[in-house]
Amino acid sequence: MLTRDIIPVPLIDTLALITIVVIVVGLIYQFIMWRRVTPPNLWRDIRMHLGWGQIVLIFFKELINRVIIQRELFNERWRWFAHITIFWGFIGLAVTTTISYIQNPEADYVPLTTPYRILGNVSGALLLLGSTIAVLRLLLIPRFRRERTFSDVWFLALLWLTTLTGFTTQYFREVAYSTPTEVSTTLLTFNYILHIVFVGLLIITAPFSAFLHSLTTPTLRYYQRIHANLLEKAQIRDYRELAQITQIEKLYTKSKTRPQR
Amino acid sequence: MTRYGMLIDLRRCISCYACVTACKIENGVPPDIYLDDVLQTEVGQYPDARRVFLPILCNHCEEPACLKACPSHAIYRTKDGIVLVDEEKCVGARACVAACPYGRIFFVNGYGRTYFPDYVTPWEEYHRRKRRPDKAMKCTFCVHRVRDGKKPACVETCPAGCRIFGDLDDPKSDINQYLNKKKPAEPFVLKPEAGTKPKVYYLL
Repeated sequence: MLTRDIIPVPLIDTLALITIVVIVVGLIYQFIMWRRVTPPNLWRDIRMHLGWGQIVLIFFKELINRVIIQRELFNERWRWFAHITIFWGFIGLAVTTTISYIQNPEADYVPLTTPYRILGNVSGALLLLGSTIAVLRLLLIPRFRRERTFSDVWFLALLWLTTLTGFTTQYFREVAYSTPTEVSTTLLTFNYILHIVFVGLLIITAPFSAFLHSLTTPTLRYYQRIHANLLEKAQIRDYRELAQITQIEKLYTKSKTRPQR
Repeated sequence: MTRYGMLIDLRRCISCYACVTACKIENGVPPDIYLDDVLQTEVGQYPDARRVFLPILCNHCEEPACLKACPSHAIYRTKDGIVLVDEEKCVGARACVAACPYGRIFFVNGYGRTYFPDYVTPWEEYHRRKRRPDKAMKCTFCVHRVRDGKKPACVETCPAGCRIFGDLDDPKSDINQYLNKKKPAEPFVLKPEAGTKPKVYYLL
């Protein structure tokens, strides 16, 4: 038995498309929220004063430090380990899924020794390790339990369940493929549907859960670095201060109020 | 429930920078960082030109952008609505610095610059002992003083009495009494479009 017999490939494609639309809409919504507080001419000034060379250079520095090696967490060993395994595990699984979709669009059976399945399993193991550490830290350290928000718990729980059901689905698929019995087929069906539900929930709530910090933190950090470089190079006032003083100027001009002396 | 906030009467501000100095002394702020600042500009044209002063500080927002941006959940709101940084949890990601629409949260490199080259004054040393290096720093509404029943240092120091601190929800608080007594125009907040619901109000 194959997974396409449980949920047909076109249905999976349709669900994936709906998920992508929800994610894009969610990200656009978040972008509009952020845009409201970004100064209107900031990027024009950045291009003018710093130039594309600096913009690209800072981008790659931040990409390496904040994303690829996550240097800022070096002083917290366990936290860094959980982050780096979750991050690279997720990237590995994204690559695996993409290759699998291109090479095997009909979801035929592929042996465990196929390179992209090895990559998928290694990445899945990394993700499971990282998310288990994160869940354990949440459960065992009272400070984390008190301080984590619902969006953190939601994201972590779904990540852990998705990875776990991914492995159980894979195991039961191997069993059902080699020795198809009613029990193994039922277990495969149950696990696969569960896995798809968890994947859907994890991805569809991504723009509103702690998942989003994987995008916002490096982006905000990059923005902050560029902004700081701009202020230093152009010797200009902080845009945010400028926006505040401009608001007051407008109000004074409008009200014609004289300050009391 | 207490909901601390501040009212700044811009009509009274004389831009003496006493609040800025008081804040620096009280909190041991490094020289290049201004948790509390006074912005100045000129409006109008001769003969109607005048200088305008705008004291700025952390707005202790109801929905702080810094809190939402912090990846390590180091920023939190106390029960009385004061937004603080937990230095133990801060990893120096600086996302808060970028996220704050008011630019009122800072990252301190190490312990920050000293006021004199190659010399740390006893006052700086005292504050360094209480802080951790490479952390975010912001106005705390002088929470250590407020908990002792005192007012924040900037409010206490302001010679023009343009800063009023108190519980926004308490009709008997200094803020509400000031508003009832002076009956000024509607107080406003800075950059309301940011959607962070600031708790520092201004009067013009």
